[in-house]
Amino acid sequence: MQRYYKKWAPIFLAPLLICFIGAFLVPFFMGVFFSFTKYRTIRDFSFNGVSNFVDAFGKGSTFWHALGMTVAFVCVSVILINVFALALALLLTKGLKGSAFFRSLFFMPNLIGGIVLGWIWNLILNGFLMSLGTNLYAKPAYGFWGLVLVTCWQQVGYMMVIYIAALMNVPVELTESAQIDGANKWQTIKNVTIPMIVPAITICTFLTLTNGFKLFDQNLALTGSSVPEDQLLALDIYQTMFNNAAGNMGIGQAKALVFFLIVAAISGLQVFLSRKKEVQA
Amino acid sequence: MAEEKKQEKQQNAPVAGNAAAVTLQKGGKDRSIKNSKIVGNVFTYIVLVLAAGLVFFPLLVVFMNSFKAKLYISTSPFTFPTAETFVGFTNYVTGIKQSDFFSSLLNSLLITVCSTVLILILCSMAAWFLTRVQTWWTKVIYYVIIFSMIVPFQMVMLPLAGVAGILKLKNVWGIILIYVGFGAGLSTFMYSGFVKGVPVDIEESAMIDGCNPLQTFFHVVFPVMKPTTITIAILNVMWIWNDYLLPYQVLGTTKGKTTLPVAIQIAMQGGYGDVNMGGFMAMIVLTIIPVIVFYLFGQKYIIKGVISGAVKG
Amino acid sequence: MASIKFNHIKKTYPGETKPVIKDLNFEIKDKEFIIFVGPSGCGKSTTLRMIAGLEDITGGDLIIDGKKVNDIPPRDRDIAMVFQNYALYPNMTVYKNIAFPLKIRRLSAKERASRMETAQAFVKQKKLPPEEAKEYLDKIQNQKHYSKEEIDAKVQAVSKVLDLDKFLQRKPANLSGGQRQRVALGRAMVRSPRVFLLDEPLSNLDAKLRTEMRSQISMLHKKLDTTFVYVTHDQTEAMTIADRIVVMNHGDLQQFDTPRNLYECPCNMFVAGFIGSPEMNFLDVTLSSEGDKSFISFGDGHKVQLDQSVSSNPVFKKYNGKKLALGIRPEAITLATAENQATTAPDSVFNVYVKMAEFLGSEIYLYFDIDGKQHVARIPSTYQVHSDMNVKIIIDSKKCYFFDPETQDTIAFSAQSKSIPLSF
Repeated sequence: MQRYYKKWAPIFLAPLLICFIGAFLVPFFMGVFFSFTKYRTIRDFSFNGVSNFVDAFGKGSTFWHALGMTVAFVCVSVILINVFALALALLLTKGLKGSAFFRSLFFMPNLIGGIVLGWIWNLILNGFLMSLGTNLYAKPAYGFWGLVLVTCWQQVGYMMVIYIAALMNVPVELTESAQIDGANKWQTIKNVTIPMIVPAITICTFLTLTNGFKLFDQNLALTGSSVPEDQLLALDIYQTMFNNAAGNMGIGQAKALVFFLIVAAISGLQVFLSRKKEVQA
Repeated sequence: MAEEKKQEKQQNAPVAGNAAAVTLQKGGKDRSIKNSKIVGNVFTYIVLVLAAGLVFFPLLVVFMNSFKAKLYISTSPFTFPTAETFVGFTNYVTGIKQSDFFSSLLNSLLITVCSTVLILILCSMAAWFLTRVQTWWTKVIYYVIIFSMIVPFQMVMLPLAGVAGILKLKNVWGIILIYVGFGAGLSTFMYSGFVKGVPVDIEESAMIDGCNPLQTFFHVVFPVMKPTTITIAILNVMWIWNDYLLPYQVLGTTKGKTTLPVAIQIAMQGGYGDVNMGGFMAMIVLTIIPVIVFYLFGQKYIIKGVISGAVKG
Repeated sequence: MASIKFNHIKKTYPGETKPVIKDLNFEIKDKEFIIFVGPSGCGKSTTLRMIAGLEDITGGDLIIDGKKVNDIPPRDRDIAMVFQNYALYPNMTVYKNIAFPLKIRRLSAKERASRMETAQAFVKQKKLPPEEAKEYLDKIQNQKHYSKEEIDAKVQAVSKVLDLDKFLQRKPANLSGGQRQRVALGRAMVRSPRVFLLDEPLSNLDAKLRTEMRSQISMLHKKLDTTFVYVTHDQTEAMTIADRIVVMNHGDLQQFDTPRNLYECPCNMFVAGFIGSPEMNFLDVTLSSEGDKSFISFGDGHKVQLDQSVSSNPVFKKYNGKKLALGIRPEAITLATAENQATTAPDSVFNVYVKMAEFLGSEIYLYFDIDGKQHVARIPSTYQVHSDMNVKIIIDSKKCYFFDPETQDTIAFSAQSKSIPLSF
């Protein structure tokens, strides 16, 4: 019947593939190409060799600072988000009344869009800092930690939900037998529960990692271009694209290409590690 | 069979809850264990309530300020509206007028719903076909589609805007097609995973009963994948509704012709005239309300979707 | 008319070198009840699915009713299939499941033509005014599917036959295994196809239900008067309900015959060992001849003279002095008792030690060794035979089958192994 099915390929695949090729695949290859050109508009470009890359990553480039900021941000946010999420998850799997309500409540912030969120916290933090005589844009550190706060507020609930699901799948017998063996709550958590939810920890770590690397909307709304030092990679790339003196967007495109490779490398690492774990398991 | 189901239900009660029941039984004997449990629970509740407060706080602040006069928002943002600062719904009125809020809302709604529906239909069809027909070219197509999931938007943003211009797609209907192209990766990936769970023999039965593959898909396969469809629908709605960069690039910033996130950003940047903080607060409240309403109705499915999305990822 | 002809059918899965079905040639006649039987992996399900159109045919022709159907999709072959796991549509009620084939199907040109004829006759008979008549005929002309009333009538009829009336609004998840099976049958029946395919439909039922459904399926065949092709690994099932049986092994047709012929005249060791329960006993013997008498020698030195009805077969000359495989069914082995001592050839009596005796009520199964290999005998329970005793059994060469040890083909057996017509 495979022969018969194959005749229907056009009907099943064509609509999606047309949208996919037009909206993604073609622009993707064009993007790769344009990173090597002096690119003003889609009809106005000229080949530029690797000079875009030199400009993008060489002296005077903002890329490295943005990368450093992003790495720092990711490290901090991954740890904070996962620690809080796991802590809340542990609290909400004790079978206390109202756990379901709290779970729903803590997840809710995740639904609010990045732009809106960025502005909400912009207002609040500015309001708060103003009473201290300063504001959000005064020091880069404020913007950085503000961003960490926003991201945590938004993502803790999401990761918490995943951790709750993972904790619920830990067989009761294991924790019971640990307690019979004399372990107290903390030891049980550390030695029994947490090792059992390692897959969830991996998933959440990678989710927060990739989310952190790709963060844009909140960054734009919170500090935007007002504090260039607080521009993470995605925003930096964006600014490079549109703020180039010569109108050459190819430099930004070159940065975007490298950005893609970094994200791809992380995803590749994730797939590789999880495959390895699968084999071991 | 009803008996079995009842037993199953009891066994499937949240494990955490079962654990608590067991420890409670054991604690009954020892007073001190029971006491420390109570203290632990009180402490837990305190933490939870504090955290809940943290969740509510920003939303409350914005809500309060949306009823205050512009001046007082900047000077005393954290106070309740008092008689002198309260301005009723003026902020809402000005905010809506200034940014043509309802046009943006309508755009967001139209784009989100249409894109999601199209994604559901086209991606499920493609995923089913790619999973059932095993040839070298179906494998290639599948991997290329999956590949798109790891590409950050900035990589394709500029060429896409150019292509969209050339193909005359820089409007609401065009952006819907673009979202289908972008959403293909995740949705096809997730559908593929679940297609494998559909038993092949009901498809074969449908083919024998007289269906061509299209009829087989819509009469038999798609209905069976309803839970998956709900999950994927929710994930797409969450993404498209809140998306900023794509509509910004493709639809631009013309008042009334763009989506909510773009409208918000423009408003705050002063794109619609001088920054009207009150109006802006009102806009934020109005933007959040549909989200909360959607959440209240779809909580169960949304959370289920998040979990299965993570597992498949 | 629905004859099915396999003409040098071959199947290889893409990417593999060894064919799953090597070279099938046989013909199923119209209205026959044919069963494909064989061990797991012999290709019987694959063959059935090729008839259905669910598996592609790599080589050869499949001809149904004189027409080659290799490239015709399943929906156009006018066949129905009952799957091992029933394959009921989980999102539809029993009613909708059974109605589904009718709902989907478009009326064929022939059906539409005959409806027009009936409609025109009706108009004439009732002498309808021209306006009404035209309206009516137009409606019939534009009818491309079965009408709701027609579908309802057929579904009700089928559910009555299968006793499903009470369950029509239930979904498959709320049915028992036996009920689901009947729904699957109903769905297949409702279209009145020209061929019925059944893929191990009873495997998932418990033993009692299985015997019940077996006879129901048999009666259904007689009632519907259509070709049935059925797959099972259970040879008892095959023997009891088939008109003819296709015995398969390793993708090859071993023998295609009636149950009785398969039992009495197996063409090779595989068929001989597969049909009949418990399995036929096989022993290694050597053939020798002295004058016009032939003898077979067993491994333990025992020498038995072959009965004339067997040894007269000229094919034995080839094997003189060579090894043979001897087969004898457990039910063909008898006890040597005082009563039959007179008529028994003494050299056909074997002294054996009963390792185990299974008492089944009307029979006893005896397990014993000859020449280091275990064998079974079925004897009536009139004699008090038990484990751990010595008995004398008779291996009568008139009831033995002889096989070539290399090719495993049947060489010879006595005509007395065949049954005879009843006479009063």
